[in-house]
Amino acid sequence: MASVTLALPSKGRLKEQCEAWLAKKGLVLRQTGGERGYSATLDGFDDVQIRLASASEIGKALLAGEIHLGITGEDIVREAASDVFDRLTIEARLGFGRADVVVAVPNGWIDVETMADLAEVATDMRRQTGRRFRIATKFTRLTAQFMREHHVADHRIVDSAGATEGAPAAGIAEAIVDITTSGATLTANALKILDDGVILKSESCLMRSTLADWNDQTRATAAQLFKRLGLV
Amino acid sequence: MNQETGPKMQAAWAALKARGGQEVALPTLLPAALVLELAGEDVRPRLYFASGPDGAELCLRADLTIPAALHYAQVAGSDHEPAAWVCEGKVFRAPKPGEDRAPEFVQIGLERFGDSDRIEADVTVFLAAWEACQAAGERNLFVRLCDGGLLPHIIAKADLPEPWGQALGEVASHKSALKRVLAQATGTGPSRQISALERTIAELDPERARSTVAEVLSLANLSLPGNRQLAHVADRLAARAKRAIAEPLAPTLAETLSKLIHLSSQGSLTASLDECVTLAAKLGVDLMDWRQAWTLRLDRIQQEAPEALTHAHFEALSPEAFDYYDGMAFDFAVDPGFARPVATGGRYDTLVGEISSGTRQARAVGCVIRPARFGGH
Repeated sequence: MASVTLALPSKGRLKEQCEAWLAKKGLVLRQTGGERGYSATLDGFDDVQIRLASASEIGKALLAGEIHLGITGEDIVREAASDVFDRLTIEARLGFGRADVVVAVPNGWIDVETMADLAEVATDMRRQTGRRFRIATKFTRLTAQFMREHHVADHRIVDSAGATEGAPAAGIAEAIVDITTSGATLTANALKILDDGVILKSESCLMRSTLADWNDQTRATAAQLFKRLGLV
Repeated sequence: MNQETGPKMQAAWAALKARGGQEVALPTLLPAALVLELAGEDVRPRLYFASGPDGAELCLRADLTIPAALHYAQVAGSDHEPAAWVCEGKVFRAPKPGEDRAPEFVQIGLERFGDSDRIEADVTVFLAAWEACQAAGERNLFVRLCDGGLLPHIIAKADLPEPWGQALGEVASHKSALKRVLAQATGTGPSRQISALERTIAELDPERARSTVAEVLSLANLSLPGNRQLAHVADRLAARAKRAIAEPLAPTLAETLSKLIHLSSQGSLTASLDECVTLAAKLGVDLMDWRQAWTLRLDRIQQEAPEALTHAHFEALSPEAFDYYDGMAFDFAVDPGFARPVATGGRYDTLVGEISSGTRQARAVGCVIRPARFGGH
């Protein structure tokens, strides 16, 4: 019998928050194979197969249509593809896993408050040094699109795998694009967020892959689940 | 020679080679950072990346101009050493969303370096591209001629009041930035309130302004890491404040500049060039030498390929996508909107310097042809 695959975060705070959200709706998640197992069941929903995976794997699987439903961060799927809303829909914003993707510059740049300032500084820097203004980020797609929308032409994106907030101090980049929840890490690294520099206000979302194998049965199962979750 | 692309391309290739040039094989794999530095982030979604065994980030070439300039910078024995190269090969560019074409396609091109007679070299490259298209049976092509060096020259020489002269001069080769600063200069851009600190800084001499900014940063415990120095911040703070409190640019000056930026007449070429001269004169700039150079170019083209000027028009600025063209530039297309040009070309005198971090300089002009677009494809 065809079942609906729902992927949930496999560990950490996000996993706990997902479990708590489901519990609030009266749904209990039972992990098979113990705490380290990567599959689970949902009480009362035998036709829903739970898969536990990392947030980025869930995003990829949703975009590829390998799973029907999944909970992951909006920032993850928006970064992974340009045609994201052709491939999935956001069914519910869950109010946890909040993280803003922001543009930040050294706090000593007292002449830079807005993206328009950043565009001017980038042009100035290229004219003065012959080099493009560098922005360190792991969000290369979102950053490139945002810079285009704000006419920041003379920049270059430096791919950053980790510790992005340290890039300006390390001399790797002039500015960064990173996620922040409270801004504390940015402040600790002497960075400030530009006034209009919020690229995305992200949170964990329940998403539905439009490319997954949907048929009458899976649609009916998903509808039942959504009803139980209070989404219809 | 790539045989798979058919007789039209071979005819175009033969015509291109007839204008003279040594066949050169250009590198296919390029350092990704260099390409992004030169071409900008807008090309990133179109590039194909690869990793070297040593971890170096590489990309497949997306055009022939950058590898040609890189190759020249590596092999030229001296600055402006003359070279004329014809090159052919695949370039790799991801299609835009909704664009129905293969991600790799063949380009053929002519690149000339170090010519002392710039005008003759411009004409040679233009005619080579035109003759290649004609040989492939391309008729009724629309021709767009531009001059990437015109606005920077006019703004540098114009009698513009400060701070606008400097602000416009700094972005003169950059179409969108130029429009942005012009909007500020005319008071039509977004207005902003300036702080007491900015107002103070604007009235100080540069040295005092810098020491005041240093004091502010120190008192507020703000840091300034990386390449951007105190002088940059202080100077820009002063420049920004001066622009915020400055008198707007006189409407007549702003209107003249705006007309130049947007100059794109579909009418006679000579009328467009004359209009540039008239508009520049209103800004106190004599363009007679510039006009003469264009007369020479057009006369030479008229002598050898008069039909090339039948559907030609002139624009004062190069399209944004070709921002390394800093002199004459052109493209040929089947459609008057130039959405899918079959050939593009132009002068890029600063590219070799940029690519070699200033160790090698060369005047350069080149063109590329996209045979896959022959026949209106």
